Amino acid sequence: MNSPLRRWLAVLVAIHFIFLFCGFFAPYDEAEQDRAASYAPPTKLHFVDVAGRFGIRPFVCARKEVEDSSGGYEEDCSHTYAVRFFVSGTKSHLFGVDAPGRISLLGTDGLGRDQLSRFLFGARLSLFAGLLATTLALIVGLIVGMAAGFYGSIVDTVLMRLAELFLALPWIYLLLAVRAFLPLHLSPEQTFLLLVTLIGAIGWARPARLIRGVVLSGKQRNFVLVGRNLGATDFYLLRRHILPQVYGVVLAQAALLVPQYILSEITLSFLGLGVGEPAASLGNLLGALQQYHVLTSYWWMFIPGISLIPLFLAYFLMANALQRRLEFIPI
Amino acid sequence: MWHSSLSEEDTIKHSADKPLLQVTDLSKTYVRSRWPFGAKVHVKALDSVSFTLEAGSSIAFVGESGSGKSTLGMCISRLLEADSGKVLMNGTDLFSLSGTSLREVRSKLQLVFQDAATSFNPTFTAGQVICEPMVIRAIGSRAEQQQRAIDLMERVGLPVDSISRSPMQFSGGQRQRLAIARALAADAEVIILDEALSGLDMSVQADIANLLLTVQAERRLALIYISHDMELAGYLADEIAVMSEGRIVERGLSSRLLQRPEHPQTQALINAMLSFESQT
Amino acid sequence: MRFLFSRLVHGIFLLIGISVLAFLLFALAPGDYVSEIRLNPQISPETLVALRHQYGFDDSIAVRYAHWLGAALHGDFGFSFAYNVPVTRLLGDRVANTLLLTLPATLLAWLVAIPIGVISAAKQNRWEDRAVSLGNTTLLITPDLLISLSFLWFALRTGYFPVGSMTSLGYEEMRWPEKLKDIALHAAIPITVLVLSIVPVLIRHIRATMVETLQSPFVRAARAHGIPRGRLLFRHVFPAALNPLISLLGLSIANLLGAALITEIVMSWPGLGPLLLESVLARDLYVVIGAVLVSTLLLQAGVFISDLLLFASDPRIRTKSAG
Repeated sequence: MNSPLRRWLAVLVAIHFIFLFCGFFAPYDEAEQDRAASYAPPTKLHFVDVAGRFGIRPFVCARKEVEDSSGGYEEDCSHTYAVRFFVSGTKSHLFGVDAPGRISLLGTDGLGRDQLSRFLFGARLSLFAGLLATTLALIVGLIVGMAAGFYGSIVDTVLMRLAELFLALPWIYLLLAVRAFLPLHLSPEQTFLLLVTLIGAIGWARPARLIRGVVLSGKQRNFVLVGRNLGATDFYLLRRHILPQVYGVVLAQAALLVPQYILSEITLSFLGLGVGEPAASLGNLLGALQQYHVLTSYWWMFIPGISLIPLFLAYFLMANALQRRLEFIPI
Repeated sequence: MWHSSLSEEDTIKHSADKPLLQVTDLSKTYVRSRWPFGAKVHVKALDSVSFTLEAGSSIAFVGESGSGKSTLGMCISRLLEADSGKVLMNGTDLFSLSGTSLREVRSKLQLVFQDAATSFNPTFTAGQVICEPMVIRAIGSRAEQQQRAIDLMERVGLPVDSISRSPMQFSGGQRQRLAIARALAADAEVIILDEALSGLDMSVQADIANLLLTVQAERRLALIYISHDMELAGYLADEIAVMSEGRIVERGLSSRLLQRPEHPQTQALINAMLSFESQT
Repeated sequence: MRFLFSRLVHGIFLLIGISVLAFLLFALAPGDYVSEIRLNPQISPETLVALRHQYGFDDSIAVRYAHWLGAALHGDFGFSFAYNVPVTRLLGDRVANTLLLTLPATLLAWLVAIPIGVISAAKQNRWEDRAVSLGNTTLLITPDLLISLSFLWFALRTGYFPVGSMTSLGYEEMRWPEKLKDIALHAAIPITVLVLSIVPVLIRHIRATMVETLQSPFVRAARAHGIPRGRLLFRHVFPAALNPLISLLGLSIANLLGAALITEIVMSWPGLGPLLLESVLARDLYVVIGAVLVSTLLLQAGVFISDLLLFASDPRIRTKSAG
């Protein structure tokens, strides 16, 4: 394994690890509301107190509404709350402040919910929807592609014609169209499973075509012929000789598909066809921006969207590294 | 020499019962067309090729490239489907079999390729390569398979400590030895060697040729050599068949054929061999 | 010509396949338009039964498909429950609006991508190339959704461009040059977003094919003959690299349509995208099927046009199909 690949893999594993344990890293629950703090801007961290003394432990000031009834907020540093780490309430959190103080480092949304917490929970849902959908699409693609490439003739024709149907219209249209025939109102868990299945079940066509191509040439290699001549069953040949040849393509596809499928989940939730309130997804966090006043007035609502760029960059760089590795090693 | 069933100069006497391998009228035509509109081109790679082979004997098919000799090896082992003809192995028709019975019979018939590296799965170790025939047919326990692999490595002259190394790190000669060991592990009765000695150094070639001759004698193997090299064929095989355009144009005992060639193609191949020798 | 003909037949079979697939899903779908409006208390149960019968929801799926296919061959793709108009008419307007965005966007994107891609290939691994590659990667990994939202923010903040529809209030009273200007102003932002979302893929491909062509022997020979660099690049190398790029034209349509759907929804542009979304939410399934078929048709048309261009530009393909 060469170094850029290892580096980006480590970065991605770290990112997913943080989101997996979002309940710990987030200071609040995703659905916890504070109606008194609708669209409050990010809380500032202070190190220097009113008396001008510097302390190593950061603290936050209390929040109060601006008196001119504009709906804005300002800091009231007559009440301060020290930031505590590894706090344990009903659940343990990485950090938090004592009630009645609240800390919302990325601001709050219209219902006064902490955006950082919602971002962490939402990213977990979107990222793992992408990962699971990719796994599903690749498993189906692997089975279909190997069967089509290995058995050829009629099996190949039928499967590849079927795949063509799935590639005949733009991805997002396909996604919406199939979504149209599925129930709209479901619980967040059901919707999550539905989205994963939906994306995976219509995403198999492209990997299947690529895998078929590799198998088609791979089954002609001498060691496969020798294996056949040694009396191996088809299953043995597929498992021991063909499968190792397609690993590279499958991995490279995974690195390309995961961001695409994360984005698919986000898009569906953005359009109101995915996971619904109060559960958070990066899609419905961005969905709030469809209201013009939110888009123009509350800049912090944009942060979850912006965070996609470094995430996708890590995936992009890993896909590149995998692709380069694939070109050097012929198997 | 080592031939047991030879009587007179130009004929091989067959025992009364069924020969080990009997090939009858094997034909194969490739149809090539330049997709999608080009005219179709028919290439006759094999044109009614027939021969028989007894246990412990050997035959070499010699010809220029494109003469159909490699297709012959692929068709006999049924890695390519022949258009017509028959291959009888101990009297069983290989082409009529399928499923389990085919898998059992075809393992008696093994191939060794020119570039042996391509015949090893790059993710396998040398030990796994030799054990594969036993694993596929589920013969013996893991330990027994391992022991047999060690014995076979010794038999073909491979260092036993290389058992867990990748064959990709082996030299060309070692790879051929490994391929032979695998064929022996499969309890092959017929081994088809497709240009298996080409591209090796002269000294390595001689070592492996001698290895082949001794294991052939030990196990009464039937060997089919496919080669372009008349001299090597004459040294290794009892009988030589010269191929051209998918047909056997001349056939006879090696000694006779080399001394008194009758067909111009045979003459040409011998001349090629001699002119190469005079250069070196 | 046989080549083009077979592509055409293939496209028709694809459309039929897609419609069969859509109807199979239709049959499996839990709930339909009628069950969706049942929640409305103003509609009596008798009306619901009548509606079910009228729309043919009680027939078997094969019968419904046969009816639909028969009508579709006459240009009738069924009826929109929600809009109460024939699907064909609804789709006609929306497709025209989508094309109003996608056609200029395609043209602009190629006009931008060609010089950038060619220069980036010519200055391979120099700072110009690196700058292009950096900008390109950034655009490539930025989701269309974010680009759309950022531009919407920009338009709202500055007020330079109207947003939220295709026309301003009072459009009907305007004279035609003002009408044109009004639509152009509304289209400016969505078109920019579309260009930005497809241009990185184009630049990447143009650069790659140009780099490959630059290494071919005829270019080295031409260089040795002292043909000026600019002329060499655009008059000799670029035309030679054109063929793979023409195929790219067909393929990039899929990207473009995907980006258009998001952009139209974010910008409230009354194209195919919002229509599809509304019909999905309202279970207006004939409209869904119609929109899916039209988008397939657009994609296949793009591929077919690029085949035609390929046919026209490559003498090898022409002579082959003549024989």
